[in-house]
Amino acid sequence: MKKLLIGIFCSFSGSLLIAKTPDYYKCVAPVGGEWNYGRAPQACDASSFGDDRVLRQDYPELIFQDVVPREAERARYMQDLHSVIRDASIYYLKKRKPGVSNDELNWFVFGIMTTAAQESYWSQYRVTADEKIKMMRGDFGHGHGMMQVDDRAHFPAIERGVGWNLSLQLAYAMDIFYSGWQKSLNSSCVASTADYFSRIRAAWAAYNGGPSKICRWKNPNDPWAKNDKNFYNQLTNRTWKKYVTDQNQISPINIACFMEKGTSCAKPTDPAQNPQPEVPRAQQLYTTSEGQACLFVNPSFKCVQMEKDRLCLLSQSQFDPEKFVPMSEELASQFPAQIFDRHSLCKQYSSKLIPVGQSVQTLKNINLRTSVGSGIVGVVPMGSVLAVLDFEIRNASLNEYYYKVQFKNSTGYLYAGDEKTTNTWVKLVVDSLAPISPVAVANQNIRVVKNGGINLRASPGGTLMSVVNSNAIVMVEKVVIQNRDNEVYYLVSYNGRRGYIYSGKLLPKDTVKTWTNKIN
Amino acid sequence: MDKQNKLILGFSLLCLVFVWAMSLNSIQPQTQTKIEARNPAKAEVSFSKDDTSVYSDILNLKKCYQTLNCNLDQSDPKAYDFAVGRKIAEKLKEAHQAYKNDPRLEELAREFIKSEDGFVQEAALDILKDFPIVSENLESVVQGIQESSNPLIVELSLPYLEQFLGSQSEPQVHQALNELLTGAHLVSQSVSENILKFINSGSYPFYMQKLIQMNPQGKTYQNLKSALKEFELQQSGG
Repeated sequence: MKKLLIGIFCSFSGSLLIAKTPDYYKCVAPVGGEWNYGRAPQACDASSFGDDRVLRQDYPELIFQDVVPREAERARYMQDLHSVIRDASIYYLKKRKPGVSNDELNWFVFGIMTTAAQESYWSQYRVTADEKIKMMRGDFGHGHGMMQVDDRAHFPAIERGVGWNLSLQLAYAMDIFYSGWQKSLNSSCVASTADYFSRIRAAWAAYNGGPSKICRWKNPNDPWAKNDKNFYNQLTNRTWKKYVTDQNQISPINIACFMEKGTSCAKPTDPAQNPQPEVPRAQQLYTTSEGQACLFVNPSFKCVQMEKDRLCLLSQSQFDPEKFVPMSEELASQFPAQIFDRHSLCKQYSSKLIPVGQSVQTLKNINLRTSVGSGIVGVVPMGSVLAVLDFEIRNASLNEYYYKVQFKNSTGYLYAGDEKTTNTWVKLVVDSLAPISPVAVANQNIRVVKNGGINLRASPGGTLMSVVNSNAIVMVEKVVIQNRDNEVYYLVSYNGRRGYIYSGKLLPKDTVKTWTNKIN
Repeated sequence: MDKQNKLILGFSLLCLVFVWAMSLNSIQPQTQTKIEARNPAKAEVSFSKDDTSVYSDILNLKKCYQTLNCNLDQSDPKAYDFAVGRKIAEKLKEAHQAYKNDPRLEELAREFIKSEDGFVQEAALDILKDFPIVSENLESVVQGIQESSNPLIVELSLPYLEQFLGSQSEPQVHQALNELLTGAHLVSQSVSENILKFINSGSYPFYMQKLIQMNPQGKTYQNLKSALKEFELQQSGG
């Protein structure tokens, strides 16, 4: 808002587009508001850029409720959002600048808070009387969300949900702000490294006007000097502070996890309300520094490699999967940990889960999204047969399924219903193959294309038995998918020996074709 | 100890040697790709005043950034710069079509790949792809993306950088990727997803060392770790 145009162009796939986005692009059911925190004028349905279901699960505390008495709701919203912006800024700067001084860190956080105030009065999501989630839009609808990512400059990123997903939007905006923050050191308008007040002004001028305008705020005759004056007023007035009674309140969401992973992160537990005993607590979710999720089931921790698979631990014991406690190194060293393979554990948890490598048929038209819940890249028509490349189970009360698939030239995630309804969304297909599938199926022949051949092992990754030569053709007897990267192993027989060969992995990029090719 | 474990042990030992080597910026290519020697790129491109071709249109547009008086949209703080950038990008594409192998075009591309406008950078990159792989072009591309917060232009540049693997310029490629892996949040994630093609027996220890220095909670760390493991499996035969 306030005439923001962020300074770079960005996208994730294909090419940068030279196209003019129309005003109020995809602005469905617009509503008004006021120039005050949380309710800046102009907001449109968030569902044009992502799935409301995911926002309600991931960011419930960050949605301004219009139907609640206004000032009480504003105070609650601001208190929660303050802790999120604070933690996001701290996580970001510590990552970019390990060893950063506390002084610089505090000023950077202040700079991001002021930028969010200037751009949108901290307005992102809002639920109006129609119970739909609205997302703030400004600048004739071109600016998206709290940090006002502009669709004229960032169209492909907006299409992928960067404006819609608050965590990604914050990371995206901080990348741009940080660039100005650093470049200000070499500018004529900043006196010294520690001249943080000027650095904030310079970084925002570049954020608002482009990198070449980093010292615009020093020129009162610039056509856009009024923007810098308005920003200066935000810097000095800090009007958000009157709503924030507890500067140190624990964040309601794990923003660092969301910035890294995008979705499906458990919420932090307030140590003041939930003091941790010296011994691990049963039915308590722990997360490790490497992102594992663990449950203590005496006498050991039972863990999954990725927090997003934590629901699958419900197959081992009851616990609240939406609240976590960070696992200290001391605690981790006291008890052994059993790491489960996500594929077998999640299948054990939910028999309706369709495993990676298998094919599904869509039973209705389903949106294909760039990631779980975010921007729509197309619609997969009813009756399409697709190979499952990855999965995610969300929402313990419903068990909602998401599958990563490839449809034509696009790869993305589709929603496949919950435990009760999934049979109406997709079905497992065993009698026909997906037209595009990197993984072979049982009884299919493959050719080894890896130079030097592939080791034949007694079990996936196990004892070496022999080598299947390059160019050899073997029949797949069984497919095994393992670990967080969805590693592919085939059970084959070769020269009288029967064992497993590795054949690449599906994540983060498919490498299967560098190992084997399907030949029929 | 099977072949895989022997190789991993071997790599670990090599790691120490290569960490030292990298500190001297001395990753050596595995095989030498011949790259052409050229004179260093000029800092600024200029053509004669009577040049009325698309080239002079581009240079005139470039002046718009400084003069701020070209007849273009100024309805918001960045509209003018956007408009200049879009016109330059269009003209670069036009020049690319018209003068495929013209050395002047290559010079322009070297300059504009360093632009802060993604559309302009993309047009410049498309031009450079049509010219022989030479170290001065690599230097320009690296300068253009080094501090970028634009994941797409960085991603589009990676296949270009890949061509320099095996050449004398290979260490420069790894140094650039090293910066990008700890650079902008979304850029670092994107680079780490595509890092596998840059890992070879020469660069493996360098990236192993990089991994140790990274935040293990981050997606970039996980992607790099995954790529290193895949490389180990490729070397050992799976």
